[in-house]
This record gives sequence, C-alpha cells and structure tokens, in this order.
Amino acid sequence: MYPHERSLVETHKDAPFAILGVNSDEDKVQLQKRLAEENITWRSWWDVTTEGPISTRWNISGWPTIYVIDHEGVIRHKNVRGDDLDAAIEDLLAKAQAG
Amino acid sequence: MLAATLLVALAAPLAPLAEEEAATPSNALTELLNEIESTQEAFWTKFQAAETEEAKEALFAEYPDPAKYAGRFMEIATANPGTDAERDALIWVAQNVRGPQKTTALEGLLGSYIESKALSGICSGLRYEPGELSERFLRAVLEKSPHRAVRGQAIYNLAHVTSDQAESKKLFDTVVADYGDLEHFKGTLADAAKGDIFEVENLGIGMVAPEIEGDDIDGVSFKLSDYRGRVVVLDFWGDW
Repeated sequence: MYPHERSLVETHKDAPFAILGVNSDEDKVQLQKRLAEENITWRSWWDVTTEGPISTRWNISGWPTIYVIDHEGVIRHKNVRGDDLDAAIEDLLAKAQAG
Repeated sequence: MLAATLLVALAAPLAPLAEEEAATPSNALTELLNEIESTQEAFWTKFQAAETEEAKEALFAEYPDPAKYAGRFMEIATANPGTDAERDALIWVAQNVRGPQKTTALEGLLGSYIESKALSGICSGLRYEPGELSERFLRAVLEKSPHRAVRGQAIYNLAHVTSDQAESKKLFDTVVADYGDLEHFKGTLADAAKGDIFEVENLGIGMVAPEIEGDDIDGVSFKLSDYRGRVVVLDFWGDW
C-alpha cells in the first residue's frame, strides 16, 4: 500500500488531492520510526488502537479500509484498490476541476 | 503481504466442536478430531521452532488445512444418519470448510438439526458469505431455533447479508431492541448493531462524510472538513 500511496501523492501533487490516514498503531515511537523509514508524508489522525474513537465511529472492522471522498465532502467509493482507486481519483479530480 | 495474509488466516483458531446434549459422537468422529488436534499441535510446535522468517514461510505449505478433512467428516455424517455424530460432523464442516462440502453440510443442518444450540459460530461465519443459501439458513435459524443466543447471532448476521437495504436496517433495530444484551466479542450485540446502523445511515455512498476531528501523530489537532475542496483518500491503517 505505501508505494501506491507515495505514487498517488507524487502524481497528484499539484491537484486538489490529499491522502489522510486514521492510524491505529499503539506504539507511537515505533510508528514515528516507520513514518520516516517508509517516507509516509501524508497526515494521519492517531487513533491509538483499533478500538479508537474514530475507527469505532466509522465502524471499522478490517484494516486497511479505504473511503474516497469528493471535493464536496461526499463519500463516493469504499474499499477500492489498485487501478480502480487510481481511476476513481482521476474521475473525481476531473469533476472537482470542472467545478 | 502474502505472508501477512496467511498469518492472519492461520491465527484464527479452529472452531471447536460443540458439546451439547450429552452428545456421544461415534468413535470415528472422536478419532478424527484427535487426529486433527495432534496434527495441528505438531505443526505449531514445528512452526514456533523455526528460527527464520524464511523457514516459517516455507512451513506454510505444510499447514494442515481443515478443508483436507472435510471428506472424512462427510463420510461419518453419511454413515450415521439421525445421530449426534451426523449432526456434529455437519457442524464441523459448516464451520471449518468452504465450497461445495460446506453447502452440503448447511443443507443437511437445515433439514435435520436447525434447532441445535451449536449453530452460533456458523451464523457468524455466514456474514462474510452473502448469498441465497446464507440468507435461507439464517432465516431458518431465526425462525426455528429455541435458543435465544443462537437466534441473536442469526438475526445480526442476517442483517449483514440480506440484499434488502430496508430490511437490513429493520433487523439491526430488532437486534438492539430484542437481543441487545447478548455478549458479542468485547461488548454486546447492541454495541455492534448500533455501529452498523450508524454505518448504514451515515457512511453510505453519496452521503456527506461525518466530521473527523482529532490529533495527528505530533499532537496537532485537525479536521476532515479542513480538506473540503480536495478529493480525499481516507485510509484507516496500521503498520502491522
């Protein structure tokens, strides 16, 4: 997942696009080490455990879980991966830029 | 990634055979269960003794997959019609195996043993296998089981697999109202169903994403709505 996410960040660096994480790792020091090692530059809320408040509210039972949200804040896709994720982002960016 | 997926699969304990109503399974069934247990133990001893990740990875090929035993359980079921041995063999297959043998086992349970109190585990598993048979099985358990805890699992998982969105919501509401006190993982069925109701009502395609507000890893607070105007990939993740 990390290489794909890094490439998305790079591909869309000039577009109105962001990856936001909700992270459930319990060990913060280890997590910070991993962020540096994997060059994870996108921002995450730190939810502390898999039963953290954000994960609980969003009823998450499997990790990773992906939502794609459009420029108006509307949920457009859930659990898309790979090429489908790329296409979903392209499509939503086109719509965002069309106004 | 493959290794991680396998590890998760392997870490799931084999569902134990239910003991109920002073069952006296045939010797063949007891022997088969013992054989599986000792084979599993031997595998895990060897796995834990393996010193490198590579050695552990190589051992995956030897994992004694429960599916290999399905045929022998089905033989026992066929040879002992109308007995506890048949019932327990069918339950084992329905709980530990996928594919055509599972279908046969579920049909057998539907036909003769729908009132067994050992069907909760099967009901939970069907959540991840939506389809006509899963729905029919869960509806039959819900209608016919004399055991409230089993009916609770049937209705909760039926709410997940039903293809009818409106029925799903109604079933979750009934779970909260009538079965909410039943234990489910670390909480109750009410906790679980309320989470599912929130998801149905607020986290569907076409709905405005609920606000998220909290601290990032450096302790700096931020909100999802700060990103309005951008396309956002929201990734619930962990480095494990």
